[in-house]
Amino acid sequence: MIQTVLTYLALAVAVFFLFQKFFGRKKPGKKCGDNCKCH
Amino acid sequence: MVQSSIKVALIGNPNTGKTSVFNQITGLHQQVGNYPGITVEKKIGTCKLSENRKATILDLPGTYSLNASSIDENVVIELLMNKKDENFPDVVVVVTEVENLKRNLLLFTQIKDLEIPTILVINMCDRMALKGIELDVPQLEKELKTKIALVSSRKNIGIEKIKNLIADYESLSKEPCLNASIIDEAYFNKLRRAFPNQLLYKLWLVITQDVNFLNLERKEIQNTFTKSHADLKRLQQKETIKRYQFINDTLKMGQKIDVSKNNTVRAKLDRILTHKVFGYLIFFVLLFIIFQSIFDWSSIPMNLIDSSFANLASYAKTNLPPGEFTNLISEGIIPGIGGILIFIPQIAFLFLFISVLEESGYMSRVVFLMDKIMRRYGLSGKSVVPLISGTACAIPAIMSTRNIENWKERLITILVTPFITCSARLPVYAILISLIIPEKRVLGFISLQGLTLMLLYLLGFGAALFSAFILNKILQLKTKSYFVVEMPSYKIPLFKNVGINVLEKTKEFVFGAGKIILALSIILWFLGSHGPDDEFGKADQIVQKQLDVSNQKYSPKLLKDQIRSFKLEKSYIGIIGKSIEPVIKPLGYDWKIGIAVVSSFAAREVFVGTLATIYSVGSHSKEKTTIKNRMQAEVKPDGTKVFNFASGISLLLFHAFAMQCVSTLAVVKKETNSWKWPLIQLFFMSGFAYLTALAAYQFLK
Repeated sequence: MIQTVLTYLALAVAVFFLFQKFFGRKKPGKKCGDNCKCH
Repeated sequence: MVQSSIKVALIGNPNTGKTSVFNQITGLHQQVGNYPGITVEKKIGTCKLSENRKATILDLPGTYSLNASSIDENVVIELLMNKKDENFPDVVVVVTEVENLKRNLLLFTQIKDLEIPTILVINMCDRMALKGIELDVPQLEKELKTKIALVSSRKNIGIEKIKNLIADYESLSKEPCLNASIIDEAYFNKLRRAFPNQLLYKLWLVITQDVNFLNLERKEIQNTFTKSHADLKRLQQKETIKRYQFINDTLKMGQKIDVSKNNTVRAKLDRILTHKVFGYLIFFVLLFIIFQSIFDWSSIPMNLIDSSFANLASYAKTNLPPGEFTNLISEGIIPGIGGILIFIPQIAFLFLFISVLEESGYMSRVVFLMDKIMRRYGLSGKSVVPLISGTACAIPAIMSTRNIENWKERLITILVTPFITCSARLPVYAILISLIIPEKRVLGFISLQGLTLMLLYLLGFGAALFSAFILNKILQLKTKSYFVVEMPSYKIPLFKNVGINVLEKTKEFVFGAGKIILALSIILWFLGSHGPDDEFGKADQIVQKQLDVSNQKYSPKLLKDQIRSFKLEKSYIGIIGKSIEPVIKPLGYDWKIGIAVVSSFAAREVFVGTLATIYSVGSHSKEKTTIKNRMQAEVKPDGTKVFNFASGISLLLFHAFAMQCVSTLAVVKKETNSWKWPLIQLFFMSGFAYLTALAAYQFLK
């Protein structure tokens, strides 16, 4: 049972990581100057 | 005790040894990141000045002046103009080089006029005697209204002096070197009256370039004070002339050069290395040696890593409590990590060579040499830098096209750079070459495998040039361009700089691509070990029944193998693979390779890790087999090898030409500000790769 739970947990982490990597929205940098046109 | 920190910006022309100075001051206390909003590399390091004082050093991109013509140069100006920026420096350290002091001082005088405390570092002072240069430092300090540190970053001379000057930055004069308003008194007076609280030189820089600046309304300045483009250019030129007049006068008093002592070794070397025949020949021989060495030197550590992970997987399988998670560890995670780490030796050796060539000053000669070829294909000499750095990764390479002023040349460079063999292709090439090319030597010393690797690199370069040639004919954009390249002095590469570079690039690979490979390995293992219950769950009974019906005599081992193979075929991954098999079969690939090819669109190097995971799921449970052995042992239903010469060449060609990198597509979108170009790139490159691989397989099979 514990082995199955750990397996699905690892799978969930892997899927979440890949989703974040390719589709996750990147946080805008907070250090941009005024009138920043980059975001 | 609370430590106070001084913010230091390290600025200088390219090739003044700025990064060496940064490495010496900060040691290994460095962090690499990107500037917010843009992906120009930012390095921040720290150094301890005293018990309760430290400095945070920001290494900025190299720039010739504060009149930016490219995006990375603009980073320097944006920082110096924006006091609200959290990295705005308390003190600027301008790094110059003793042999090019006159040109380097232009940037120094501009920064000084921004009234920021500025220290002048004159680097490579160990070459002064050799070059017959004498400096009157107190005189120069007086004229330039600053403090000077004579430094040799290579010999670790003067680094403490820089630290002392930084610690004592409050005593530095903020007085400007030059009064820029003399170039047009009336115009500058008008500016002064309109913005009495603003620094005049800062206003002038805002007007002459597009930067984000404090709370000033750019439109207001533009409407009221901007002259015509031609007038601004004329004033800028006038300013530069005035600055050089000041620098000449200063150097007349503070610098003596004995021309007779000036060594001519550099000139002689330049003549040979940029010669129209010997130059190319030497470059070709160097490439040849590099690729031979990559294969030869890295084979021992690679085999060691490969067998260690095979042993570890087998150990985990035997010693951990049996169950699904143990299978995930031994068949998914360990082979996945092994598939990443095995390529460290080759990547490290590749970057070792590239760093040595860059550090020695040879790379600039290559850029100069290649400009003649590049022009014929619609590229600029400046395109060589992205093309060469494309051997590491297309992403920074595409970003480095920002210093190409001509849009057509820049666009062509962006579009063709992904053809260059990047480090992500190296693992794929390495494993396929070792499978299909025999480990033989021609003429007793030329490794056939190394030669094949070199040919693949040349093929990528050839494809880039050919595509550039076609694009140059198709794209109807009329533009003018010029080419200027810095020729630094020849130097013996510094071990520390080379080491840091190799370490950084290897880390980028392991922790960047590595995380994706590991995550994909877990998902692939899951998809390969699970399937729809109807056939997957009853695999044991179905296979036994099939063997019984055929009246075949079978051993328990054969039965086990058959069940494993049946399960893999009926798993989720098997179903996905089988559905794409009709498309990839003409290329000589089976469904397992198909899965690896599809998953490698996330990142090319995933190809090997995917195969390692798929074959690991399908292999005997407690065997100590390496990735290479598993791939070598893979056979088709007719008993012939899956990875034979024809399918191997087809795969190599597919990987050489296909646009298999999501991140590169994203960067192209960002740099061209349109989805049009990345989509053209994706369909053209992948279509071309498919057709080439198809032709190769059909011809060779």
